[in-house]
Amino acid sequence: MDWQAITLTARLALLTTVILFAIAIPLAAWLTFTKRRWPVLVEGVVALPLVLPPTVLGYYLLVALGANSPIGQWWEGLTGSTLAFSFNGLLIASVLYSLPFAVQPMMAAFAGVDRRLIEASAVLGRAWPATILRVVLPLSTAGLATAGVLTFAHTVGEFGVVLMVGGNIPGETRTLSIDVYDSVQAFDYAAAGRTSIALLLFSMVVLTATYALRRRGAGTLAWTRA
Amino acid sequence: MMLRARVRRHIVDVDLTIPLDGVTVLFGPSGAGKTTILRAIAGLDPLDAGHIQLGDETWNEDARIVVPARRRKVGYLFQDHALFPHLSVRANVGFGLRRSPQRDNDVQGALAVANATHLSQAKVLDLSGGEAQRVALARALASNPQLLLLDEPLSALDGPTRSSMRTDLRTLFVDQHIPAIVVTHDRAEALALGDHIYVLVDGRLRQHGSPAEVFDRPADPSVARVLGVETAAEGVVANVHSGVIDVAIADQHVSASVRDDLTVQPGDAVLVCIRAEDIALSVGADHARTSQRNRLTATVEAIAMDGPLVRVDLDAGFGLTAYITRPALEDLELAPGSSVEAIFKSQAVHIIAR
Repeated sequence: MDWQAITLTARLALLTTVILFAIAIPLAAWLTFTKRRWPVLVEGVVALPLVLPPTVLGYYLLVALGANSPIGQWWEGLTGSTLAFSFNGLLIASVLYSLPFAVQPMMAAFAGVDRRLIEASAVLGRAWPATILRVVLPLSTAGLATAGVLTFAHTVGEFGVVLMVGGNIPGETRTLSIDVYDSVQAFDYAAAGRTSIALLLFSMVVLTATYALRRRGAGTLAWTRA
Repeated sequence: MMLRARVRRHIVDVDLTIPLDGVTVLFGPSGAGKTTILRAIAGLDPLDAGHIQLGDETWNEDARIVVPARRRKVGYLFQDHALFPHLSVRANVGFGLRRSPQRDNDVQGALAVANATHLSQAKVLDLSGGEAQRVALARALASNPQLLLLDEPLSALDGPTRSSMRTDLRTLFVDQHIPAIVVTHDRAEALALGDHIYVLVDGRLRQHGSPAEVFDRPADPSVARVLGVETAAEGVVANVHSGVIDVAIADQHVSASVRDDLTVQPGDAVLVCIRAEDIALSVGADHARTSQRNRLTATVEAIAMDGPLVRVDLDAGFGLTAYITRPALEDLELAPGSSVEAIFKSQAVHIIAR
């Protein structure tokens, strides 16, 4: 077992989940409760990673984060290192790639919160941030848990985007799924088998946990592809 | 203080000037637009057009000015309480209050005013309908609203709870001097709670006044219908003399008392309204003299139990409905086809000019 790949993958998945929570909660709340129509475009963009080939997404990310891009140059000026083919670049890619897996269960959960409770909060003088924190989130715990588990699992399992944006640098961007690919390329089927069975068991546990949560009233998971 | 509102939203188009010196009832059948108006006043729904002003504060001015609900300082009581299920009773009541040393006292005070002190340690999910409504009322009162809005506050409660809550609400409104607007489709509730009543039908304001004025003198047939005046028959004024209006309906004649606000001439078409509880029934040749001016011979068409009373539909040349008690029904041995006399005072007959 490649322990370096395991810790790297765990670190990537954990950080992705934490960052995504900070981004996805306000985003999902806005998309769920806005009365305007154009945010449906944003909803579409958020869902893109579900249908886009990871290579296409990876390609665009590579272009956007590469050494010649404004973001890449800005980052290099700031830190002295490149974004592409680094852990940080991989983290950004993971966050974007897993966005729908966080946002969609949250939206389903938020939409399930009794509308009158949200109105009651408003009439009692609370602004949106307080209403989200004190009413919507406490009543969406199952949906939030689903979002967390799915985001983590999806990040652990991603392959195409990692390969495109991160490459295969041990200790930096070589995650478990890349490790399996690498082992097979090197005809080391025994190592590939060990890593694969570990990932398979992990996925089984995660999905079982997710469906158990769903029975407690989380959102729909029809699109589960983790 | 006055609430001036021109509310246009969906089917609703009303112009209201409500004096906020007591309890105002918005009365009407379901679908009349009462809740739409209440929600617009609270700022929960936008207006298609119109304006809402409380005193000199402008809350809505078409789409240009919209003060959000959280800044209107109103208390809103939802039909089914809308208590936060994940919070304790005390946290629910204190939800709208800022953190301060005073907060606990305010919560306790609001619970006391709503007669809910005994519920302060209870779990929200364990509360009965009536208890939950008291806690919701305490929550609405806790932040000292300048106006209390109540959407069918008693409709989710069972009979006994409803009547005790009705009394409590009225006492509370009067004692606390909080102006309140109550939406209801229940006649008893409107009569018990209201100082002013506004009758809405199909999104339009049809009549307003004190409950006595409105219930005794419905302005038009649609108001009479929603107020539950069971008989509303079309007739023609035959004669006006000695303070009595004589109206011909079908081949019968009905006498009504003259009123100051009504000028009718012989030949005028009018609507004759008679409430079912004002009609007495008599069987047999009882020719004793009586002060009641109206004695109509009628045939029983249908008899139906309606709560503690019996509803008797009569054919007196025109449809007439009476409410009598069950013992009276047994006494009179009524059955469909029986012949009876319908007796009522001329004061019980309300004439609406058409």
